[in-house]
Amino acid sequence: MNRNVVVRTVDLTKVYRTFWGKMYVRALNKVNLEIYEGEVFALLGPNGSGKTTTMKLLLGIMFPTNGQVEVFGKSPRNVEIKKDVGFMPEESYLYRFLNADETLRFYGNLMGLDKKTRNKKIDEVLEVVGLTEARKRRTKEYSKGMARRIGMAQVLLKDPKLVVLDEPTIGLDPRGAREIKDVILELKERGKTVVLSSHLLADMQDICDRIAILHRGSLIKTDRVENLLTIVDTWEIIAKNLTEGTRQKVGEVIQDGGGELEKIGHPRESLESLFLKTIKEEEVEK
Amino acid sequence: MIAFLEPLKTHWPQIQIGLGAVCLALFAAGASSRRVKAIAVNTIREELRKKILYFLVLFGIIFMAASGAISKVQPGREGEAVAQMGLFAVSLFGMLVAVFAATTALFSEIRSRTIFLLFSHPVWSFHIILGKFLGVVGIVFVSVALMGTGLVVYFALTPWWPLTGKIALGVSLIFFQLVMLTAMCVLGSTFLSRITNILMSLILFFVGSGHAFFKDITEMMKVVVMKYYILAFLFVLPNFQKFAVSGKALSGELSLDATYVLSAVGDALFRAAVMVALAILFFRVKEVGTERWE
Repeated sequence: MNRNVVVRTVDLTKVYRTFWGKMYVRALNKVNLEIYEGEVFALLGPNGSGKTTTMKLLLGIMFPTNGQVEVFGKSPRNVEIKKDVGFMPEESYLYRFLNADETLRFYGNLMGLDKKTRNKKIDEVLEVVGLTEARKRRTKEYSKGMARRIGMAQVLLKDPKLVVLDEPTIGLDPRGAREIKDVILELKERGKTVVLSSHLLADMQDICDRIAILHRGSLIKTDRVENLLTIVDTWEIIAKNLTEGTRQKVGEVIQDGGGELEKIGHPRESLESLFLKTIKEEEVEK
Repeated sequence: MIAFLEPLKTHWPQIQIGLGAVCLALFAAGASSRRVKAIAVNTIREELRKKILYFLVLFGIIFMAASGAISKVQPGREGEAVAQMGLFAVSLFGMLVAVFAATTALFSEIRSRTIFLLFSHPVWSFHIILGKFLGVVGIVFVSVALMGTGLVVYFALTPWWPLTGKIALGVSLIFFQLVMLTAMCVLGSTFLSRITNILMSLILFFVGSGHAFFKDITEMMKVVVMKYYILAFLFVLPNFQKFAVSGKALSGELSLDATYVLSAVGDALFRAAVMVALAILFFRVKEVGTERWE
């Protein structure tokens, strides 16, 4: 993997104060992070752990109380780097009086795209997020899933090098969540750096390269997903069409070798995979 | 008066015209930015899709139509009375449109958190503030133009038609009065809550509309320090009264020459530019999104 650092934080601290200057919460406490080019990096933590604050600091929406934050080696307040940064907030904060087309045209204009390029790209991204049919409907009529998709569409329209996604799958049904995850994986394939936050851990497991666990504003752990999730002293054997006799032999071999057989049985499909398969079959039948 | 300030005082109207022209050029240059234009058009679109704006303009037109009843109260000066009532209606309802739209423009962007997405795009604070300001000015222009056209057409069809030109001038001056008010509200929205901003704007508009009255009262004050503080405040505060075409002007007792009108317009543009510049500075250091920290 290319080790170019895209995001770097050094002792990043954020303290929220009252109007009178009295501290009422330390949202982030000396957080040190390095996020590399081309990786999918997740900030995990319970509500109030500082994930969204970190993202707002990365985007230059808020200022650090102490410490430093750099995006592409510059301050996130630097307008120049914002051409390369796309953001999808936790809730898709949309202009409720605009339809999908107008929303994307607005963001296209902010990006400085010329009319022809802008309209062509809007057609493309609406197709990708599956909103071509609903493009003339006002966003206030959109379901949560559709709102998330339009939020993702404005990110794709920008085609940034760094994509920041705040709770990208929250509130979505399993199919919507899968679609968003597929888009994230596609972004990774295209060499984009993706930083996302979530407290839906299962959703992040299969798409992230590295994760950082935040708790009460402090960084508890950072590592590659496989390093964190692999149970090093336990082994898994996956086999098909075993007879009862063979299973017994496997157990004996393990015990003979000084190992301890914990479980031998049928693996389980994940609920998400079962749900998606069932819906797909139902749609094919119709 | 200090001697070296004398020429400044003599040529003050010309200086105001010059400053106004420079500020107009600055606004035009800002408006040519694609990002400013996008934010301004979005602001106009937002306001046009709110029903309250149409109600305000409609009430203004109804109010103007009802002012015809005044003609029965003041025999001999009916035309001037109706014209004054009509201009008052344009000013009053235009003021409500300006205050409502300008105090909402930035506030709604922060409340609905769409500001986060704005900040994630390559936009400077000046794109946002200038775009918002110009968008609201566009809305005020449409509202004043609708009400003003109604008033002008009404007068053109009545025996009081000779007043039509002065009414058109009065409506134009009201527009520039409201440009200043809009800038004041946009400035307020960078550091005040919406309700406080509305109240402050209405109070300052009221004081500024009675500028001469408040100045006369202050001149009579005996406590010198207090007197100069208040005079300084009145100097800084936009003189909204300057833009109201009075009964004397309508009757011809007071002439509204080109220098007076242009200097008033220049003053409005200069003050609006200063307030917008301050709003940009304040907004640049404002931290949004601090209300949630998960």
